[in-house]
Amino acid sequence: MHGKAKVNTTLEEKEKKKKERDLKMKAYRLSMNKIFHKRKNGEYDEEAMELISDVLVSNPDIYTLWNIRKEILLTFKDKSHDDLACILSNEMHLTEICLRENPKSYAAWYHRLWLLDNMPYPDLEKELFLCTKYLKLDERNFHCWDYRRAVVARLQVAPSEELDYTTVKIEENFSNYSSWHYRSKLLPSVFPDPSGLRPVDEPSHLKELELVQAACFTDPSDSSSWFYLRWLLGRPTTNLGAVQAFLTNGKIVCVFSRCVCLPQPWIPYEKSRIIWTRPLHDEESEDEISFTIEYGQGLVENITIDRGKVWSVRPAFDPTVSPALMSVLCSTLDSSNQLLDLEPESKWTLLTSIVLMQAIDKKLYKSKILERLDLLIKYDQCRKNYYNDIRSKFIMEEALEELDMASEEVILSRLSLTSLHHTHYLAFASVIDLSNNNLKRSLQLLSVLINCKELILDANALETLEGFPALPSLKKLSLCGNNLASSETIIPFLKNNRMLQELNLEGNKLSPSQVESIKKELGLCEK
Amino acid sequence: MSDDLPSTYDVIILGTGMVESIVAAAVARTGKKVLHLDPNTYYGQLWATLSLDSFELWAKTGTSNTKTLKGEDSFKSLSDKALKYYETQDERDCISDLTFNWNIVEDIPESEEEPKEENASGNEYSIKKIRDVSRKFNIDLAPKLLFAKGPMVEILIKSQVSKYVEFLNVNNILIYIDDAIERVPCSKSDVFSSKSVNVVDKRLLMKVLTSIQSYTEESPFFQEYENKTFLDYLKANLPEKFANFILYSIAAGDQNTPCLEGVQKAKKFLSCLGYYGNSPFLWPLYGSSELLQGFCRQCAVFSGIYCLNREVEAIAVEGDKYYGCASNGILLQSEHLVVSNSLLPQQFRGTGPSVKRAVLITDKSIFPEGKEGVSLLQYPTDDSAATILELSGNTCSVPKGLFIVQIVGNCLEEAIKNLFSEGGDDSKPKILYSLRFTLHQMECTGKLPENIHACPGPDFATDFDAEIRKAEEIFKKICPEEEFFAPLPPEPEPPSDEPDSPEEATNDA
Repeated sequence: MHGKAKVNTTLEEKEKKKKERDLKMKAYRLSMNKIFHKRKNGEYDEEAMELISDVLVSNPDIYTLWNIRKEILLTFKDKSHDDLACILSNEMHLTEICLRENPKSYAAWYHRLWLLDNMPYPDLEKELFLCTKYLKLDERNFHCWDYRRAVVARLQVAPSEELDYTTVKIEENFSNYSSWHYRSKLLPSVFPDPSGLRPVDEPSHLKELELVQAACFTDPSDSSSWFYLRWLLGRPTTNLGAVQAFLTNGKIVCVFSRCVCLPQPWIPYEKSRIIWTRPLHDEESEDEISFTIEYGQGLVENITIDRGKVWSVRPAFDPTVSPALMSVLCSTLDSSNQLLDLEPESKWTLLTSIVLMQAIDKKLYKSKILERLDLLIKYDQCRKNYYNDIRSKFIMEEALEELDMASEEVILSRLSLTSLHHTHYLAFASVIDLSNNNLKRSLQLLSVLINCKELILDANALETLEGFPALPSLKKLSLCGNNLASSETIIPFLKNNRMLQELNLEGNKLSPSQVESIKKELGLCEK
Repeated sequence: MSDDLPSTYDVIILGTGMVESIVAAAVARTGKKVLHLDPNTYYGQLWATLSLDSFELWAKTGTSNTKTLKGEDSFKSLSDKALKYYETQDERDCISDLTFNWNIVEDIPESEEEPKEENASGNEYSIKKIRDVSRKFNIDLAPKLLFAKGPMVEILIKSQVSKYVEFLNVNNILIYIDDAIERVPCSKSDVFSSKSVNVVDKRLLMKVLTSIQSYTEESPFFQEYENKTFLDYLKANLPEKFANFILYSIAAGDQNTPCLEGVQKAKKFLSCLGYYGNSPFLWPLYGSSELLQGFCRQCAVFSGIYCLNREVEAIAVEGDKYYGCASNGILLQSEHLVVSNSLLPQQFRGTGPSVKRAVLITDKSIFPEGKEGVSLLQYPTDDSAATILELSGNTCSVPKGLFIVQIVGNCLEEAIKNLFSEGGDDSKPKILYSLRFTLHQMECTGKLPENIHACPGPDFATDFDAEIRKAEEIFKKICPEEEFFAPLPPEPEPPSDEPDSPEEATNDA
């Protein structure tokens, strides 16, 4: 009562709670044993159903029990239509009770969906109505959004109706990944882009950008809208095409802009399907080879390689943008810059402005892009590696676009690279200098250096060679001035480089005797 | 009839205004014996909600104070004690400059087959037609809104009086600015979806709204504006239009509102969003008087005695203590007297501030693109402001198709002129009926005996903060040991004739 001090309730309560829990536990164990026993004996009856539902009501996540239920339900197939309808509607009700206990129970949601597919006449309209009601109470329960999509697919609701629904939900509360995501799935089917360059047709694209920008400005720290904006602006995939072709060791090597499938006799190099090789035919001469490649959907390429030279296409990482889209990008950049004046530390705005500047004119904005990447690293230390990798990609793309593709020697040193990108453009090069960068990882990406004879990785931050690929032509590898400290971080990864003759390990944390033994083990004796 | 009333009580309450009714319920809950009287035939005095007929009658009786004083001597026979009698006054003194008129024809001769239809369009209304549905009107004399997290909502929940009343959200928060009515974006979702706010302004607006929301005494944001006005702060951070949105609509302030006061008022508004939908305000269905009647009902549940249409002619005082009330030829005695300021004897009553009010019946909403229901429009002018509340059919205060408009503020004539038409201009809502008056607040000026507790009538604020505070203050004087609306002990289970179900019985064993 009012005015009376509470006494000893905590201890009493604790004791009481423990007792309650013990009782619950006992009941639970008993029921589970009974259920498994019945299943073993094939007693698929009402009693089993009841035992299971009693447990599920308080523990809706035991999917084993839901599965046993499904087994039992399937044995009810012979029951009269009315009986079955009644059983299944009770079953729907059970999932409802369980979802009240745990609205995010995967098993209960799945069981409900399974019922829809196993009911003679499921009331899908009602399910859709329930979803709408449910999402009114909790608009961010992605289980319910998933279920809604499943119901919508079965009902064949027009995507445009669902699109309107997501608009309403976003207007109520735009901090909602599920709703934006659903939108990104619906839009392309409601307003497909005939040009294939954008995710949706141009008028809708502009409208969506306006909508999502409103959200970004209203709350720049809410990530859901920025992700959606990124999806809208997202670079369309690079055009598929051959980018390099050359001869090496009696084989034709052909490099593509991205993964592709070629028919025999082409063989993919390594596992990546980005580089393909085929042996020369008997009648082909190494002086001048002309061949035709056909790859999917009627794409055909005629390529001629002169002796000792490389056939190549200048890399282009940024697709052309229509004037209309360009003006949207520019105005989005304008507003982002205005937003940055107001919120100079807003990381999503910084990041998006970088994406925009890259899409608009990365040469013009180069210093601004790098400056803002520095700001991001400063304001968002937790993700500094991520931003560094973005910078590396940006710098590498620029360097590759400048590169003379016919040159056998490629120098990518002193670029502060922390990661490697688009390395397949280096397939023809025989000398590759990556010295004086900050490489620590992503050595796997070197695997496409099919022609590389000399690789210089001096003055990077390597602590291990983990991921270093077996390069068929590599003779000389220089690893001076890294942080390699033991033979275990080196030997296992170089063993398969059978052509390797020279290894320079100076300036690592290795003693001369360690260096000696490493070389010995790799079969590289000083000449 | 008078003789049916018992003659002694713990507390006699005179007047059924808001404060009096809250005190009645609070006191009765503690077990005190309460008698609650009102000279009118309806609840609420100047807080009343009236049907159209009663409202017209109320208007007709106008400002005429019908009270004739009888002289102290006429009460001497009521008691042997040496009592001094103070004669009570008429609440009508609170009203002045009352005018009203109908702006439509008396009657339309009924056409041959056309049956009566409530939803007749605009110019087909006649006085008769509207009077025929008089009972569908619930017109407030003192309409007030409830902040979703305000003290009234808190007390309604605590007292459980809430179960007697139903509410609607105030759906449209509007402002009249640059000769047009605009919706005020208050919440994050409003700012996001408002088409009239460009993206940069969205950010500026959100920034100001969030810094106001996160304001605490220690927050440094506003320190440089300590001696400046709220408008100074807003203008420094927002385009003028949005500065006005926040100043007039969200903070309900004016050009002179000091910064900190404005911040606190705006913060209160913003912190009320999201509890009962995307609006900070609630409005009681059937009108404000539902609230005070709810409290009266609770008082009655706790054995309070109610007697409307019953006057107390004089208050009897013995020495420096209140003794009882002379009513209808008998003396009703109590420990305490709670009395409305408006009824106080002239020795104790003075006239306080006043404000102009108007009530209109119109045929169209001021903001047809808004949601149906309750709209709150702030109408700021250079030197004053008017607050306009519009109720549509779903508030149960007016028949469907018509609107009740309540206007408070000294510039109301200008607002009426710009927002409504008296006929002719079809783009604006047409005024079918209008009533204007000046409402004076009565104050207690003299020194009352300490067991008399005077209650203020309606003030001009939005919510009931002052009323709740005053009611609690009075309650504490009458019941110093008790908590204001202490939770009730759980009701004893109704005795059941049937034994418990066998299952439960075994569990208990």
